[in-house]
Amino acid sequence: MQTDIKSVLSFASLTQVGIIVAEIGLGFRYVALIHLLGHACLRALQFIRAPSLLLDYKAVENAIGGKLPREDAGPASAWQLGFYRFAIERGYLDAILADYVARPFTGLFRGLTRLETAWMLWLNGPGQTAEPVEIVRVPAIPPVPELAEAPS
Amino acid sequence: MNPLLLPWLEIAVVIPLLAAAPIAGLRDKLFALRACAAVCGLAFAAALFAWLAQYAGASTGTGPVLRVDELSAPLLPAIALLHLMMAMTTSNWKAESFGAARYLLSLGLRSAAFACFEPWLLVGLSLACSVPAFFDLRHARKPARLFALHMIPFAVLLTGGWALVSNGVPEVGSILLISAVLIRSGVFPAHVWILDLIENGSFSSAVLMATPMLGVYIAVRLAVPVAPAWLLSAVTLLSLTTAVYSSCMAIVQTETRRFFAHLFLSFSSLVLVGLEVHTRLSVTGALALWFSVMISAGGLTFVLRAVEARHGRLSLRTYHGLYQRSPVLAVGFLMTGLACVGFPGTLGFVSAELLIDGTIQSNLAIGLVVIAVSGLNGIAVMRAYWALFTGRRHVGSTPLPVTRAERFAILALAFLIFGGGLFPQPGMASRDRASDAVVGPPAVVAEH
Repeated sequence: MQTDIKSVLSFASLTQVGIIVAEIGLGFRYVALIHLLGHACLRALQFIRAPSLLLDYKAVENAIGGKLPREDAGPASAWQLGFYRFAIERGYLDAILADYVARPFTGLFRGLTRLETAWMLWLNGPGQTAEPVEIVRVPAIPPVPELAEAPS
Repeated sequence: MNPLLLPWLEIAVVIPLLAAAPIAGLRDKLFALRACAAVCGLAFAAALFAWLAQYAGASTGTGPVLRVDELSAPLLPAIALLHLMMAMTTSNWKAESFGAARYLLSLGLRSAAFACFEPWLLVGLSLACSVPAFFDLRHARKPARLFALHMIPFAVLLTGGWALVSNGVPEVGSILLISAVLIRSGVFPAHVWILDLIENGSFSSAVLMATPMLGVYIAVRLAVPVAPAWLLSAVTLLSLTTAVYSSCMAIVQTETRRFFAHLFLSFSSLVLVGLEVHTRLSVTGALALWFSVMISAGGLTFVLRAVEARHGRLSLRTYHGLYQRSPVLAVGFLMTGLACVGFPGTLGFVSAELLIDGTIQSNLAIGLVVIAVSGLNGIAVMRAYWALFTGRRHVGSTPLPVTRAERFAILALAFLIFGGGLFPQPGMASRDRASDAVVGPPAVVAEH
């Protein structure tokens, strides 16, 4: 269901790692070892080959002057679309982590940082400012010309 | 004559103390800075010879007061090396405000404290080690009240605690001693003095006061041998809380110095956890982590200081992309930061492994929290690295290459971090022998 080759290979690796752990759990340690070695070799080859494979596809498409012909699977059902969306968003894991783990965590500890700073200022006595150090913030930098995309 | 028989330990202690007075009288501050670096170099060489002499069994000092044993042997040259690196890499434009005499006085007092076997003298030296930092704050025209509010109770508790222990009241005395250790080690909620010192004082002096972990040394020499088991368990809980709290705080900090302060507090608390769990494996791990953090955290400070000298204090809110301007510093940051968190192949890896194994053997829950703290510290280090060195293309017209002294320091750190990581056996064997001082020698199993 993934649309980029790195994600496809990463999820495929996760599947194999799960199977390897299951093999270890079932006591088939030598099977797991052989599986691990075989998987490492094959997956390394796929990761190395992936960029050049994409370039090969591009070269073929350039040569024929259009997209490669693909099999038409017909219209997708609502269930298929929902499942596709769930897969393409990777189970909404990033959003769940951001909303329910990262944001409360940073909120809590930034609040504690403010409390800690206030406690330090109080202990240090009157006459202290809330921002005891000058922090350098680098100004926005204009885009670098050589990085700009060249006109085709 | 065998050169190892010379009194290298006394030389390492006395040279900086004697040199402080004439250097204080120098009017040329740049010359004073260079002379200070040279004296630190001599002290480092003497401390290294003292270690070699102890290792070879040639000499361990001249008497019951100052002596090198398995515990302090590697710590003394490490302390002198950190002082040498900081003095060598101080920018010329900072020479006016450097305070070379105070710096040498601190080195002499610190070296003496870490080689001291006489309890009352150790108490006195521990108190004396805090004085230069107080004057550093005053010299920088920063408020020193918070520092004093922590150091005065530390002095009272340490003196009173040892007075009670030496007069036959060990239970109450050990409570006071442990309280003094907790303040000196920056255990929550008495941790703010370290944050304040690192943020407001001279970065190098503050870190040199904190990274040798004198509080841990006092715990090993004075407090742990007399503390009851329930007290050690309480300290484990407090240290573990501090480790978790500081590692979480390090992740969200927006200023580099405070990020470093929290990261360091987390590691120093982990060392205390290993000591107080009090199994042979955990104590060996804690002692190894102590040395590793001293080198790695000292190295991280050196890199942050070099970044500050070039770009000022940087915020961690935005990306600065300094890798292209200072690739050597970026590599140095990553190397020292990952060594702190125990990345495989670095000095900290085996220490972290031993500590985790030791704590898991003692208590699974403590072991799992130690693993979580290591993970959180790794996230904090990588976040700071990405904010400082990646994320954008930094443009600037002034070349800012590393100096020869900085290159030497980075290479010395790389040698120690990767050397200790790839060939850990001698270091770990030394820390294992040193753990005898805390948990006693291992039980001998009779062979039939």
